Amino acid sequence: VSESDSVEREVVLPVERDAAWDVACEPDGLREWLAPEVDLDLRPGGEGTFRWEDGGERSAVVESVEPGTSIVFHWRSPAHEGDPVRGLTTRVEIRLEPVEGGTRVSVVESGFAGAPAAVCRAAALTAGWCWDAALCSCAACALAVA
Amino acid sequence: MASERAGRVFTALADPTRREVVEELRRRESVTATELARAFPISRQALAKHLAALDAAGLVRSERRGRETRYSLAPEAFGAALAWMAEAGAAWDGRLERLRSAAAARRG
Repeated sequence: VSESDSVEREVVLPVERDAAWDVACEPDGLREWLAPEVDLDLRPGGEGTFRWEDGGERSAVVESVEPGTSIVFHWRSPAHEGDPVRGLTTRVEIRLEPVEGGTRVSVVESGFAGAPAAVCRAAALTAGWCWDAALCSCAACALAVA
Repeated sequence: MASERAGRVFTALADPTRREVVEELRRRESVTATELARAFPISRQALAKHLAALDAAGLVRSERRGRETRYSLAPEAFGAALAWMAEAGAAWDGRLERLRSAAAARRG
């Protein structure tokens, strides 16, 4: 369990930066790996929608675009009944970096601390960090009770 | 599905009184609604309802002993909540694996 409120993952693609950008960040590429239906206006403030085979859908707003380097967008999770994070918006940053043998693509999804305090408290309890979030120093708890 | 179970956990814990009940259960091995009522400023009946909600979410176990029902914490249910949190990471693992394949396919 991470104490931060973000999920971080990375992969090295065996292609040059330009090719990595096309597949990792352009809507045509995003359709091949992120969601089968991508409608994204790739510019700051641009809006978009991601749709999956199972009927899942997320709306998105682009925060920034640095061609060849990074895209940042905010997406809103689906509003399933009983979903603990219904309506929660998280920030997704996809960043490219040339490395030996290709291009590293790193993804950081953050903002889970925006979930209801109960989410954080349940995790805190399970992980044995704390129960009283007010006494806990982890960032997620601090934000959740703020 | 882990997410559905976790959803029930979070819904049950969204109520502050129920979080306090869970906290109390962490300190004691088991309680009855009557015993719990001594530690809470609300009625035994109200506590019985909260305990039933926690029971339905799988957060506590109930055991009938004679005329009373004893409740104890079911720590494994909290594991389901954690599993849900791990799903966000697992989703990216799957997506980046597809990205790797897509990049390789494009290279030919």
